Amino acid sequence: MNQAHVKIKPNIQITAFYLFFIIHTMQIGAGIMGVPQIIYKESKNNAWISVLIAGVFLHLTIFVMVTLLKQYNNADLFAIQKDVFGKWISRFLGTFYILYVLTVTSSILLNYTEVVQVFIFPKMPSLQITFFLLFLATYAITGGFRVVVGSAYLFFFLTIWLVFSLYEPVRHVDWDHYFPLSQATPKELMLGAYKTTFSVLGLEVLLFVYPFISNKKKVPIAAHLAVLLTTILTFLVTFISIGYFSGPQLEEQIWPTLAMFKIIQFSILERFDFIAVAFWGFVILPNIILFIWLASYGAKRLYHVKQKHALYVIIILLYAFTNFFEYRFNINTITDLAANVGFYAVFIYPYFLLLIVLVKKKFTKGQGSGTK
Amino acid sequence: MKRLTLLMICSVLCLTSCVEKKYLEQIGIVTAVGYDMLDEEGWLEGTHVLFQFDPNQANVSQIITTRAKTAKGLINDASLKTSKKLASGQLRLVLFGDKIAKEGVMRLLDTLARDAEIADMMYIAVSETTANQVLRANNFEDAANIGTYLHQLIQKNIQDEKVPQSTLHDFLHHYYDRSSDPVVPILNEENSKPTIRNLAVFRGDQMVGKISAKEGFHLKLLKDRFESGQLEMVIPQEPFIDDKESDRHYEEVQGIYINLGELSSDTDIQVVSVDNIEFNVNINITARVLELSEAVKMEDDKIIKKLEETIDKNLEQQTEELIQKLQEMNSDPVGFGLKYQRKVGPKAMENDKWRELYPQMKVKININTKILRSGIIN
Repeated sequence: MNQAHVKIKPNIQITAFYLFFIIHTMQIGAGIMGVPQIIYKESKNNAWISVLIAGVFLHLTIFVMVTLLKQYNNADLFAIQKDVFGKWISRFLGTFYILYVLTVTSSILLNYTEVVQVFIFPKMPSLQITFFLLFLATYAITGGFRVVVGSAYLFFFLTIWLVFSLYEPVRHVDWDHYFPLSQATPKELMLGAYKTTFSVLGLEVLLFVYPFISNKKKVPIAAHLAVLLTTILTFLVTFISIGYFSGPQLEEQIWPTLAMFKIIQFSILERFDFIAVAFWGFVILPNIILFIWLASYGAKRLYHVKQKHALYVIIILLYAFTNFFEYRFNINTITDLAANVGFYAVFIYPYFLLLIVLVKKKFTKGQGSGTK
Repeated sequence: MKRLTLLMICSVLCLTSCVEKKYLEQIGIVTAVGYDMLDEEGWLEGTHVLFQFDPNQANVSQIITTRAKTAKGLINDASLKTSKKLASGQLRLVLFGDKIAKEGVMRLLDTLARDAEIADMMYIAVSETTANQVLRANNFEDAANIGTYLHQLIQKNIQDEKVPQSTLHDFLHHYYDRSSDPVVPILNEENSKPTIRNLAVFRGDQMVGKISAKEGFHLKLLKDRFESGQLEMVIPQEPFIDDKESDRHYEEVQGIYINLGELSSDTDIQVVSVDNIEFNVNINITARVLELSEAVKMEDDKIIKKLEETIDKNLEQQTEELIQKLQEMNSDPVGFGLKYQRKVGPKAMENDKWRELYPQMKVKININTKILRSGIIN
């Protein structure tokens, strides 16, 4: 029954090992800079519990995605949608997904641009910063899928050491802030978990790169490990922020994670936060590379255009769009939009799709046996 | 893979590009700022200590005094008075005049918290008189300028555990924590040399009183832990009257003067009763005797025990006095409020509830001192 099948040439296939880096890099980006404040606003000093709840939900979603993909041989979301909904609806849904991915990308670009302007170069125009980032992204994506994956892999190791610099803020943690433990109501905890999901969007990439993976058996492990690491990192920054800042202070911080780097000093380097913000570029870059690759690849799959042409159009659109926004509240609007749409597209839709696929499968099976 | 290498190189070049060039010789690095309130409504006087690099000159420090209504306005006004480009990324110390500290300092700290250029590890201090007077003092030892001297003075004393942590981060942390309050050192000028004698106690962002640096010891005992502190105290002579080797007799010395060093402590504050706002504080101290004005027989265990108990009682009494003083000021630098919050949750502490409860607080202090060594003699 499963006609949906995506053929990928063996020379651009990757092993599941790299899937770990793809998913993790997609998830960690601009969001983690500010996530402690967003969760704290909902569930106060129990915010870290919300992160753990969100983590469980992430694993569940990965499980659902993997189950969904296993129903087919070698399909991605586009193929599955086509199989389930037919040509036109699937094309509409696919386009919608691409638009969502582009909104997320612009939100990342805008947020990072703002961070650079606030922290390091107040006079550097957005035109320049976004140009650099988009130029590098274009360069990487024209190199093909393997370069895209390679960038995720390399930049992961370039930036993961930043975790260890959290040691200094830990020493300033006020342990009294964590108590009482059962402060937030279940509703607040769930709201906090809901807000957490905003900053860990990106695991949907699994639905698109699945056909590229040569050893499918290892997919679940790689995907689960990736979201586990994301959960751990989000948990760490949230947990430490709660102790490091006092409550109302944390609520005022726009980027608590970056603000925590402000107390790190070395004798040869007084201001570690500048280094951290500059290094954040290495976190952001593979993030947007992957997102833009996804969008251009989606355009290719849906409309049968050349990926390169789609890429150029997307880059120009993004460049024009991101320089359209200037004020913080505009950026907030676009970020909220991306987050809200993302929640449904990433955390609700796969469950729904799996349900339909399973029902359809049962139905066709029954029919098949009936004709026999 | 070639493309990947190129991507790396390109990103290093692009993402680290220098946009704004700043030449070292043209920059005046602000190392310390003092804020005073003028008599006219809303006007501030700012004192900026600049550090400049001039290859030809030996004197590299400059002080600029300006007037404006906001902190950033003061910097703007200052740029009219110097050829240097002012940079505040190396700001090490903010000094508030006595008057503005009593009025409230958040008005000025706001910009420091907002500006990403400002380091969080910068120190906050209050001047005994005006900030201008302290910053204009001309004896700053061998430091490059007064800003560096004051920074080192405070830093050293924090490391020596004589002054509590008073960085911008700590100040903001305690300010926003509605159930604890900041404490910063007070700088005063003695023979045109700035020194630390007292500590300023804040309620919110207003200075409400001061305690001596000696009382600061008891404060640190309550809120923090000592790793190698030092303490001088007077204990009554009576209990030891029979235990002395009577070779020393000082008419003018009333009681025994004792100095403890290598003092380490650890503190446990517990809420005994939420309704009656009762706390129990258990403090364990270990120390060694550095100095004794009377020759007490230190080889005897019983006498050491007696000595320890006397020290305990003395410390307990002094610490209780300090808490009483702080309660009168209605300022909680120890953070009893935080311990209370642990029990009742942050919601019960909203609307400055703790300010009403704090003066009624009852604290029972229990100190347990252990003298480990007595130097190389008994």
